[in-house]
Amino acid sequence: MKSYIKQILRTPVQTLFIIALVMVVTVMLVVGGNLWVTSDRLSKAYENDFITIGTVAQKPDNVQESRVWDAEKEEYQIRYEPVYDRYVAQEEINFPEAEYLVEPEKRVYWGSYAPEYLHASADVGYDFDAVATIVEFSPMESGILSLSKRIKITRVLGSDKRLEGTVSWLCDHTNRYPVELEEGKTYIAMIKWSAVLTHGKEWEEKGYLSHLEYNPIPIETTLYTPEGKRIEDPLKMQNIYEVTEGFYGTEIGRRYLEAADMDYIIKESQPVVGTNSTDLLPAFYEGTAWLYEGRYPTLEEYEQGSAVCLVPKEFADNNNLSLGDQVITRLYFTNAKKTPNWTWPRPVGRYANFGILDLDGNSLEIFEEKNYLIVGIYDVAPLMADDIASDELIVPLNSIHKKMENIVEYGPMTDTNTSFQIPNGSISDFLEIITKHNIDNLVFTFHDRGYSVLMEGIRNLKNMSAALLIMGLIAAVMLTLQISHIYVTKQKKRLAVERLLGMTKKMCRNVSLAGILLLLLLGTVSGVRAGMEISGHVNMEDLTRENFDRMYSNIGISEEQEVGLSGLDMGDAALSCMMGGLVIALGMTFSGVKLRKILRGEPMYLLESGMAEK
Amino acid sequence: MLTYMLYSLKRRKAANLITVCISFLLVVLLNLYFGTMHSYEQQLHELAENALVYGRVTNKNGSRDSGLFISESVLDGLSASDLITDESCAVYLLAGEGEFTQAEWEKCVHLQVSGVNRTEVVDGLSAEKIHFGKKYDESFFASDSLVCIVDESVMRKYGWETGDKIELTMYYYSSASELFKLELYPLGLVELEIVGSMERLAGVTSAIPPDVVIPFEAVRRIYHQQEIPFFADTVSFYVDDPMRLNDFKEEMRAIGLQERDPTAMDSYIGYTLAVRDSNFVTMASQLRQSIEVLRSFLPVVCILIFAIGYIVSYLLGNGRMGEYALLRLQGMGSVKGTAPFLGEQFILILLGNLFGNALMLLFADSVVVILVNGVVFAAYGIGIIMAYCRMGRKSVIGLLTVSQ
Amino acid sequence: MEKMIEAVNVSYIYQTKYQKTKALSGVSCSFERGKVYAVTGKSGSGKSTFLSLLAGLDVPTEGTLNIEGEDMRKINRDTYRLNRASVIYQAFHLFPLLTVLENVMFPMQLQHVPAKQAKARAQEYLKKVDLPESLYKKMPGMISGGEQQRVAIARAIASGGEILLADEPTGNLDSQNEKVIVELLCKLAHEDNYAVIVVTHNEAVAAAADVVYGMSDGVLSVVRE
Repeated sequence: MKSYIKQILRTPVQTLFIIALVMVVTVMLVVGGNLWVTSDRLSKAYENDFITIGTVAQKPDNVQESRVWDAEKEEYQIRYEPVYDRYVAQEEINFPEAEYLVEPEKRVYWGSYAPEYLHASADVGYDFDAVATIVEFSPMESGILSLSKRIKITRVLGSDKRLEGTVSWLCDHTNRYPVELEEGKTYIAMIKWSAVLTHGKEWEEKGYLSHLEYNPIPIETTLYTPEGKRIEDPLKMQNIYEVTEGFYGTEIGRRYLEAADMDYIIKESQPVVGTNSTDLLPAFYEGTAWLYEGRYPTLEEYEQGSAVCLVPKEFADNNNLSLGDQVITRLYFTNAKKTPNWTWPRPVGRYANFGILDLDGNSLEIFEEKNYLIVGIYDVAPLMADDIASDELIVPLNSIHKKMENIVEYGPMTDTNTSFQIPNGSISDFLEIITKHNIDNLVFTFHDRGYSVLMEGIRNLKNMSAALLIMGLIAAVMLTLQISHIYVTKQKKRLAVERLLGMTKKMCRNVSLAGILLLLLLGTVSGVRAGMEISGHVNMEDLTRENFDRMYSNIGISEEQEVGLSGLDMGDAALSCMMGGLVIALGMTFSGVKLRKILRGEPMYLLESGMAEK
Repeated sequence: MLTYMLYSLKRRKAANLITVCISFLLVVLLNLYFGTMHSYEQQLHELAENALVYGRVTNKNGSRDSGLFISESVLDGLSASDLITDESCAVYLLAGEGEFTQAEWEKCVHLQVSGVNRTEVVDGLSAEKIHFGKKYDESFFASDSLVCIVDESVMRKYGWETGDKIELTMYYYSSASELFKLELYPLGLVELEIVGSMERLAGVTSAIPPDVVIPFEAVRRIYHQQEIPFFADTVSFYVDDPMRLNDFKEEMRAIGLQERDPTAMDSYIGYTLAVRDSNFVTMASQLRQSIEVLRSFLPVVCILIFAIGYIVSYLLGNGRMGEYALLRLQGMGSVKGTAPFLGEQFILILLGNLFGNALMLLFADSVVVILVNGVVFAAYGIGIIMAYCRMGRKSVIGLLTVSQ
Repeated sequence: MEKMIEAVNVSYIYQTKYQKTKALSGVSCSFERGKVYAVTGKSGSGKSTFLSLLAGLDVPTEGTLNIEGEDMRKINRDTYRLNRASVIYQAFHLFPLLTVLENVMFPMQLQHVPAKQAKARAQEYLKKVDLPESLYKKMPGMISGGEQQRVAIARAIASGGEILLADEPTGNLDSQNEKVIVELLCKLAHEDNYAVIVVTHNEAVAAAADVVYGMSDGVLSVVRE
């Protein structure tokens, strides 16, 4: 065998070229194979790591002009309010031909009365005076409330007592025909802090310092039907009433007492949000809220409406709650317009800018009570996750049976309350469906965290790797056929002489195959090494780099996930060796078959054919 | 020489088949490679020409795209941009006939006035519904003259006719702050010539139809004359060349337009831009990245072609040294002796190319096929020439020795 | 003298894909050690075929070929060629990519002779065929025809066999080299007791032989004994 190896090495250029070709072919197979495996692995990983969410916002059909009195300017101000002919229901965007992973949901939230817990909203948190509260007050000067008047707040019926005993400024700012107040009398009103500075001729004359004034607002019910129609309050209340003897025995007085009670109730309440998937909640999708401990409800729990919930970390800490504990909910109102942070903003505070009494002027009744098992505790990023309220419980939507009772606000679909999930990479298909349905009053926005961009890069990689593999395979077959031609077919004479000199068929075959194996090994080993290096150099960041600026775009890219895109590993060693092995196997097979054929006959024929070839 | 070549072509079937197959495969594979790249580039070009990328100025949280206060600097910035086209602008006013005091405005202001720069800006209005007088046509919308077209029913009500000059006291909206309050302010008494009428639009769409339509620039002129800061209510446009989307967005940033923030409070100030480019961006990004992936493999492909061409030719040529030596022994010079081999190989490559081209013309662009044909022919040919010329430089004795 | 090789009624038919040819017909003869045998005849008479059978490159279609009493069909013909019989040809058939010395060492490597010993013996054999030492490291393509044939002879005797078969060994040589080769073959037979069988159509070579057989259309006859 040494002798044969010597003979091979004495044709260095040919030998080197053969090795080079074997190396090139191996590189193609290794790169193709590695890229295929890597792209396959990445696409599987991305499928699990990425989700695609669509949000929906309904555009107003019209604008409505309304005139609001401005006591300071003594004229009507014009406001334009968006008007919706009707509210699009979530069923209408559940297109039958669309492939939803989670069907569209227009979320509502419920208020849950839970006095046994410590709520973050118990602390109003701000230094300025209460946003809205029911007070008894006494004017410090008589006059019509068409300008700011000083009042002494003698009693606060609501829960925030800070105003009690203080002097504030009151103006019935938006009332064209405000009442006249008498100094020394006692009046009652729900007063709301306004963004208007104190004003009036008397004010200017007396040189008072500017102050934000309070405006009285009526206590009214703001109940809606499940279809979104406002139910008119039979009782038309004024903004201010005089507190006379027996006032609280009247219908009006009773209402004020009930409303004041509701203030306490709101203080001891927290929001409950129902959903079919935590990922549909913007804060969770965007990563500003995340699971701190435990787990998310499972798909089955969502579908079956199991009594499991997620609680915020602060709430759990404040109430010594942990995984496996129960939380009680007593739902008494539904808000079908806004997200709960409007009522319970984070980090602290509460403000119910909707009516909290029923049509009889009584506190809203609890309509559903349930215990939930805490399966997960979530946390939120400070100053972010604006749509998550403090103390917000998240439960499976199907666990709530009475979803639309005591509806205190009703609004259209918005980006924060309506969302759905579709399979990754199906945004363009969905856009086609929208176009087909000719929808022009809804705005769809998609968030896929860059999945579509990433996946297309991977798909291209896969196609390229397939092409390389096929090319490499064909080249490998051709090359190994060529090798068998050069080192077997064209070596008939040498084989004949070897047979002549007494080498057995087996010896001749083994020596020839050993030489060919050496060449193949040298070529494949260097090819495998080079192929692994090249595989590692295909830069995923180049492939997934965004070509277009997404600013202003109607596709939202939330935080892009890092899934190890900084560069592929140096190729899978086992796979690369397998590719090298394939080339060797092909070479040895073709050469072996050829040798067997040539050596089959008697040496005399081999000699003659070898001589003839010469 | 020709005879020898043909004899050799007939005799060396296996080796010739290998050469033809290699050439065929190279042609097919390179056609796939370049053809795919070319196809992507064409798709990208067509996409850019056909995709409609639409932009509209909105308020900060994106809930309003009309009834806004869009500053003149934004307007001027957009108008000056050559990256947008079909810009549609509107400003909405109220007006009353004749002169009256502010105290009387409630009783006198009854007319909805729209200042627009295109027919399409007015909901439901089309060229067919406008009946211009003798002097004007659709160029009306681009003018800054104090002219107007009026709703037919309004004309009947006021007894106006096309050609009449009317005096309107106009009122405009202003915002005291970003918040909800809107206030009406007088714009002044303006004399306008009625140059046409428009069919009644009330009931055609759900929008409030204008009673009077004035050219947008004319309204702007009025504001400037009165030294009042001008604001538009709505602005929308199309991006002229979607492939220059990044340049366009850079320009919009420079103008001062911001991105939508859904959590922002409601307002009337229009300084946010919403661009409907999702379809285009998705598809163009995909195409661009496909092209880049393919291009990243170009060096490997080039090396491959050359390597295959040269090495295979070298190896095949090596085995024919004896043959070449015999030709030289017969008295053929190095060039004439090499020519049959080169000729034979080029015929084989051409054959392989032809088979490959015939197959690829069924699927690929003819330009790409021709290009690939040239590349393979050239690369392989260079390899063959280099391999066989190497043979030609040797002495006859040397060739005979090597061949033996 | 002991018969090294005995052919008894040997016939051989060449079988190709399309036809059969009877190359030998009832050949009977014997070969002894220490003698030079020449088998003469025109081209195509079957003498090379006969030599190939004597070399064990195939077995007769009919008849027997005995090697020291053993039927060729029953012995391992590879081992026979490795240890007992060697062939040299008109075209020399040296390994073009091995040096002169390596060519001669080759059979000994097949016999697993240690390299050092093989090299020493190879040098001896080359000396025996009067090849200058300066040529030992040359490739066969670098030396003359006569030198190549001497190397082929040295390789043939390097395996240590007793039978040397030569097919037109002087066919490619000039008269001077021819004389040298013939002398060498005679020396091997008469001094080293080889059974040397030469196939030739050269009169001068046949004249140097101890026994001359004539082959004509596959039939052997004794020309001179």
